[in-house]
Amino acid sequence: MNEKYSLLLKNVEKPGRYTGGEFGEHKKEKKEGEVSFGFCFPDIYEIGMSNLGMKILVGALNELDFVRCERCFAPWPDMGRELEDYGIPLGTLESGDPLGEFDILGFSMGYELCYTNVLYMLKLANIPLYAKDRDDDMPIIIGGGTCAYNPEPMADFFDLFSIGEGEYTLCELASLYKKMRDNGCTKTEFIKEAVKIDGIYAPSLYDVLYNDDGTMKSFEPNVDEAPKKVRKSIVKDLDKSFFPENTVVPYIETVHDRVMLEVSRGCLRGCRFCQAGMVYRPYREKTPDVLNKTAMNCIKNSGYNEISMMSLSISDYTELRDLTTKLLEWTDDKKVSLSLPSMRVDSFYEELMEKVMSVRQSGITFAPEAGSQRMRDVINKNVTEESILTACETAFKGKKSNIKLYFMNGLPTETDEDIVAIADLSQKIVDSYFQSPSRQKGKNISVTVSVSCLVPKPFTPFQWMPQDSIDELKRKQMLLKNSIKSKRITYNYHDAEVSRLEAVFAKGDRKLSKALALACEKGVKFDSWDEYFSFSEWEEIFNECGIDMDFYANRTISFDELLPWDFIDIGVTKQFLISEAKKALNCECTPDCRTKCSGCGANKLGGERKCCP
Amino acid sequence: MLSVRVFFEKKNGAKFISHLDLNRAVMRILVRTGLPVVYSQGFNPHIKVVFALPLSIYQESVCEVFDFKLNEDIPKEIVSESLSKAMPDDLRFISCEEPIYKLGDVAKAEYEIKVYTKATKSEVEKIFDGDVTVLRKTKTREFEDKINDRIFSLEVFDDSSISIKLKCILRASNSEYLNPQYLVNHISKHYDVYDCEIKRTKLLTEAEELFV
Repeated sequence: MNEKYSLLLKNVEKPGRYTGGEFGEHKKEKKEGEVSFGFCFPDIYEIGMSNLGMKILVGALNELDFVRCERCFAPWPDMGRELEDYGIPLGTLESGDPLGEFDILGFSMGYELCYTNVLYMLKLANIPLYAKDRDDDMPIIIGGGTCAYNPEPMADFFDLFSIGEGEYTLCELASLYKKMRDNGCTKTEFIKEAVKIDGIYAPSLYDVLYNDDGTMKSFEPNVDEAPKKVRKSIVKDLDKSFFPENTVVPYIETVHDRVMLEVSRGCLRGCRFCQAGMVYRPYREKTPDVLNKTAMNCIKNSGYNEISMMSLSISDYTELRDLTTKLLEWTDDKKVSLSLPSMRVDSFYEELMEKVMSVRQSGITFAPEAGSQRMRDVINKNVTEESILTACETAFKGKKSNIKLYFMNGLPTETDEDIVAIADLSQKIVDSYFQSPSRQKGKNISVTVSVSCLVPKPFTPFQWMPQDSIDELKRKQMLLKNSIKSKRITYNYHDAEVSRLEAVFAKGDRKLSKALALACEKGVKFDSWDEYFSFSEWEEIFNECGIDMDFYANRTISFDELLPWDFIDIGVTKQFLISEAKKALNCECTPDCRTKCSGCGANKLGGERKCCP
Repeated sequence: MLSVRVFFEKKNGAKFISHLDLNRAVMRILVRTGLPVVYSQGFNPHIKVVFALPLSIYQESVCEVFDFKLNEDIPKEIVSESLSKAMPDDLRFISCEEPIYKLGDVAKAEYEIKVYTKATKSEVEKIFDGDVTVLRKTKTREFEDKINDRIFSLEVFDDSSISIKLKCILRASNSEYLNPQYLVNHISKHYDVYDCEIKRTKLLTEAEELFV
């Protein structure tokens, strides 16, 4: 543990966040010729330690003999202040070494509201924010995670981005770094060589020009080495790729205190609002034998008592029955419980529920996303009201009387009727409980309706659509509130202003970097936390920078406009997304990949695909 | 062994975790050993682990203890080795034995306390001469408590120009526990105290024999 911290840890909340020393910590000795990699997660320990991507990448890097990969999480502001007061630069958990002394720093960014935390961490580490201000002595800073699919708002702060799946990419990058560093190459030479690796993007090698109206005019490489299009990298064979069986077991409580078993990557449903469903294509699965063995080792090495099967759509995993059977052969004995993430209503059945849901769990979650059939067709959710009610009835039979439902508002073509339909559907579920033969005497049902605001994301058919204005979002939230009559229904809704900020950065370009730098200067951080989010502060910042939020969040974009992320090839083609967008406006559905291939284009990336031709 | 008593250290990073965190950590340690440990019955079976005494956060210890039971008689060497491998450095495994005393027999504990203060050895000795009263706060009230009857021995040593050391034996049982922090609080009533490091060094019975 970092001795320097010892004194100030008594002044902060949850000091366990900053000490390291957990079981399974990968503490490597420093050695000659090593490549040191500081893996940074721009949120607090409890959030970052629940992130599967980070576990996989830190593990994959540490598998390399010459790499020493250590973890760093964003300190909560009380700790940040202590570090500043004592003049201690932010460092990693394992060795306490300041971030500025590492060869490479990687930031995993899963959602746009973490951008200010990335800059907060750089500031605490005394590292210049802008890539152009960093000389060859400073670490190479690389960004990854889902936000890398539109890295442009952060492009000015990073040397490189890893777009796509990083298990192999980062290892190749580390090897290249060692080779070139040992040969005395400069940072620029390294960057030009690095872009030859699949999925690596170097913002400095491209020039962006804008039209007078602020839209993009051109995005061109300024050297020969930079490819015109950057193709995302994928793991071709999930069974053969690295998966960590020796993870760090935190002392303090984190969001996910369990083994996370990645079952498949990608999704074959094609819901039109969902970025993950598009960018992780093509759909690939792991085999039950590999998964079972991994699960056994993970439990043995961690001591957890729960396994969560991770997937974008677990019910679509072809060998779910086989996998659960294999797991249950030993998990019951070892008192290990299994859990599945929210399942699709149309593939939720009794046997599944009995097998994997522990008796203690009294609740179940479904995500219909929209209240009316018309709206569900627009978003291509492809579930009927009947299947929703049937799934709930199955849940009642299993004595689950707490139903949680996820919905969105602000969807394209949405009308007030569609909003009220959410209330009607929830009421129908409450009514069906009271009419159900499985209703438990003396036990009441509780339905929680959780509604978030649509944030149109890059690489989805909705990327050209505007987000509703804040006033509209709030009006609809009130409309729904007033339409819910039953006391059995609890209604939660997501802050429209937070969603607005997310939407600005989701479809942002490089012009936003000055707003981010100014925000950092003003001490803005932890935007996704109630305690720190201030919309009025952001309005001031955008005003000062001459940036119109509506330009990014609230504008209908024409299909032929050049988008900041168009230079990335995710497999799925723009033509496919355009065709899906047009179908959405006509309330037409597209079948899932298993039923019929719709030619999205992801299959050209290759790999062991489960249902692509 | 069927009944196991584990002796371990709690130090460095592990100083900063709560007793609840420690409880959870030990359960996971026991699962990692792969030993046939005894679980509780009922809806939510969990490993039956009992600790001798909790330890406050920020305090270190070289004499922590927890008991658990095995379903089968496993040789001590195997139990030791499994535990040693499953416990992280900051919760370092010392040894394991068949319990001799009952957990309830823990009555006192010895501590070494380093206090960062400019007060001298004799100045500190003086303030512990006679009645020692500290402010105690409970959920319902605050009151002045004379703690002399729970201090069984106390020695003060010179340490450095900015610190002194205390070695003491205090009341420490599940029904009555004098937190060594109160001794530091008492000093800070009279002299500036900048920081302190509290280490529990021994668990003792009423007769001040080593708890084993």
